[in-house]
Amino acid sequence: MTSHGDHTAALLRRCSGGDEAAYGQLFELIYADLHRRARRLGKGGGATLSTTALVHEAFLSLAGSPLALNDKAHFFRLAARAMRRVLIDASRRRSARKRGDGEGHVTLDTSLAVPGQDLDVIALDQALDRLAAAEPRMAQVVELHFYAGLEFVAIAEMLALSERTVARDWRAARALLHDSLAGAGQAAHD
Amino acid sequence: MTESDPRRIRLLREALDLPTAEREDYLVRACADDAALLESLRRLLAVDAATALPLDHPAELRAAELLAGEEEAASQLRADARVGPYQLVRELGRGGMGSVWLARRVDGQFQQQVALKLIRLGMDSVHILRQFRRERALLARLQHPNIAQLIDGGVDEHGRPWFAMECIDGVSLTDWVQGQRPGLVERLQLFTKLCRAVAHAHRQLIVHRDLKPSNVLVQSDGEPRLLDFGIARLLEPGDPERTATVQRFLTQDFAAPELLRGESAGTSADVFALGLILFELLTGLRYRAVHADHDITLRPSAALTAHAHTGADAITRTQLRGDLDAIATRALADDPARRYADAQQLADDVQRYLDGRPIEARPDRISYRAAKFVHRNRAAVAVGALGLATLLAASTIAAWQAVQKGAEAERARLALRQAEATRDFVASILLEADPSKAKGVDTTAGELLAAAHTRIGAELADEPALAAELLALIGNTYVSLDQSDLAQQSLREALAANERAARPSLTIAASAGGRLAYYAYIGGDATTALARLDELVARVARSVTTEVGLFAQLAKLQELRGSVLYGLGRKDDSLQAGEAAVAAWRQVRTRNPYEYLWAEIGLADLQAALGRGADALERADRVLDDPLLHGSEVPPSLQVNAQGVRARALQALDRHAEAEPLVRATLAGTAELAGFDNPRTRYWRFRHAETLHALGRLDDAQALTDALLALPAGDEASYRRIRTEVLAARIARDRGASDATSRIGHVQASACSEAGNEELCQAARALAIDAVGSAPVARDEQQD
Repeated sequence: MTSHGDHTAALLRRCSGGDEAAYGQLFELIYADLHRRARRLGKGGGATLSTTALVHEAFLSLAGSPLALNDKAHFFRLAARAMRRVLIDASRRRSARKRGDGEGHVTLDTSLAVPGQDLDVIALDQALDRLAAAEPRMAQVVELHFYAGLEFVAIAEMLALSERTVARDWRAARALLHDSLAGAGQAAHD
Repeated sequence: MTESDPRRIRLLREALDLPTAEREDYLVRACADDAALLESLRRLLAVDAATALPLDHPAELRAAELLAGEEEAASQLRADARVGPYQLVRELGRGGMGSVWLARRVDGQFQQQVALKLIRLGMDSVHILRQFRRERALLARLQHPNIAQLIDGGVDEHGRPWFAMECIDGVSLTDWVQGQRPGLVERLQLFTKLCRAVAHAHRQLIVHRDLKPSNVLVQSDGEPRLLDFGIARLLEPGDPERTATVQRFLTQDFAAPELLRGESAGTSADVFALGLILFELLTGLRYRAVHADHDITLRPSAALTAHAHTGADAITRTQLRGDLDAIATRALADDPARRYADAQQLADDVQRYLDGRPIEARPDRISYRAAKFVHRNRAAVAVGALGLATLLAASTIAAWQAVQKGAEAERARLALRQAEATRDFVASILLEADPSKAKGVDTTAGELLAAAHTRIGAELADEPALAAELLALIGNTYVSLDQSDLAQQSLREALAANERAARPSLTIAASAGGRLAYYAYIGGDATTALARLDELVARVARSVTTEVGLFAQLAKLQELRGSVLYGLGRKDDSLQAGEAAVAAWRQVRTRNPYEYLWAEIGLADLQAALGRGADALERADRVLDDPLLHGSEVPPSLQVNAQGVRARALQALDRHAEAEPLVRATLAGTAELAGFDNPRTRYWRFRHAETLHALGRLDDAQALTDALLALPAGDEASYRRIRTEVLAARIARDRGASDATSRIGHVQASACSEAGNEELCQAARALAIDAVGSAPVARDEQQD
């Protein structure tokens, strides 16, 4: 437990010193942890669907010990990136699978509509990159809130902003991204 | 692209900061030069106002979903894959619970196609299997012409639970309505069949819990068949914390309000679901889709008014107004206590409508008020679950009005005493499962019985006759649930209570005593069983002429006695007991035609087994000629077995060529009725191998024994397996197979082991002597 935490803390410090290798190592560590947790969640831990924050669980397990605010923020930014990656990788694998399958399956019973199921994670990723180019702070709020599952108040603390500003950034980004996704979806159908 | 346009982002932020009412004016002014920008900002504000967008659900849910899909794909089933003893043919459909496949038996030469339901990964398979084992006996008993029979279940190599069901050729209820455009009467007639099928299942303590139009298939002959009976129940979580998970899998559109609230639900949830189906049959509209105000039940005629119809439908508002509105509204009441008490009553009310008689469903009927009364005063009613049905059946309105506070216990006892029909008691137990009676308690049939058992001990100490009757009923239900310890306990208590009664019932003494003797017998204590049976037979025989109903009891006792005597090796006595059983049944053959025929068949079988082939054949032919066997409602299994026993008689007479086609037909018939892996079917496969062997068709015979021996031993009695091994060894010898000698040695060892029996041991020894000229030195010399 402590060795985990110490190891993570050391990696985080090396990251802030600009150590690329440490960054890569920590990213892989978080990625593997999130992947495992998400898989377990998908395997039928449905009762916890609304209550978990996987990134937070990962934080508790990998870092655990108290960290400096700066390191903590760094961890969650990395974790949000890792979650983005988990989603994209899974989505790409699925597309590959579908192509291999040849035929799509007919769904007879739509009662199992999982919230957000129709989200195109790859299009979202690209739209978020474009948004980051113009509004880096807004994009960061999206990463921490949507991907890392942090509350506005925690994000405000990490980014040294007011909670109100974070909430407004989120609202605007939410509208922009959905609008962009809807447009992309339409374009794809045309 | 658009999301990075700085002007657009600035204006969006500013607009969001303004009160909603001022935004439009602000944007119109700010975008005076750019109509496209104004349009896109309006769109953004509309998006902002929308709720439950994809980004409002945490990313991890989407990740979990994608990864779960991966796991599922990794274990993806393809045609030809094997699941248990089945081979998948093609996928019929899939849904939240998993997928449904057309499948066929892989180990048979007989085509048995089933609909195989595979539950997706992630459900709690251990728990599901445990539930299935517990309820298997109940589900196997559920046989009804409008219910697709559950055949088997298990867990596949990936840990997915599966259920094999009778494969029904038909169209879904929705497609039937759209395709056939049946008239109102036709729809209602079909609906009453559904209700009666559900009521039948409820009486067997089985609830459906996932009734919906897609679970109803209509065959080309117009008969509806209900699918998945009892399955949803098996999938319910053992751990209450997982309830939320499973609720997600319930079909929300058709689940009763109490199910959606996460409460446990019994038969009344099925009544609600039937109401939804009725609504859809009447209007062509899905209730939940058109039902906006959840406080008020929507009348079908009002739904038709509100939703301008496609016009193609045959049913008009005028037809629905009044009675049909009232029936649907009552079935769909939010409060379970306001619904029809059971599916039978719903069926009866629809039938009354069809017959033009006045219907029951009017909101303020006295029965409704009585139900409410019991519900409100639950704590005061001493026998808490004495049961709405019982109460209503037993009470006149006047009696109900006379009930005073404090007098309930007495009154309840009275009502219970009047519940002579055992069915009413079962109904009352079932009502315990009703959410209005037992809030939030997940009740299984076993728990209900245990509760009823306790209640009887506590509340009926002064009523030994009634207690005996109910305890015997509970004991018999435990028997069918295969819970032998609890069954014996209840039956012993029933006997004890019966002896305490002023006039002990001989019927209870005979039925409970006989059942206990049976348990003693299968527990290995044949001597005790026989002593008990001898005593009971003597006792019943003394009274049998005065009480005609006792003939059946006497016959059953003699049947069992015959088995015990046979087991003890007293074959001739066994034959006599069999003859006595047939004689007793013959006295009541018009009232118990099937029991009578079974007894005749059993006796013929025994005669054949004891080498009296000529007697057996004569008896078998008499049965086959009996008009009782050819009535329209005779169970097919009876006809199959009557044919089978003739085959046995022919075998006993060494007339194998005549026997062979009959054996084959019996085997096919049994496989069709019971499934290919059923012990009965195995028995006939064995008999077929035997016949082929006798006819010298050694290759065919060996193929059959090989297939039988390849099956896992399972719950098959060991002597049956050894019997097959002896036959296989004999065939190997006759074929001059190279391994014949080692086979014979092997089978001798197992036949003469502890699990074998004397007869098979002798047969194996004879075989060994015949094969090598002398018996190989037995490894263990304990055989004298």
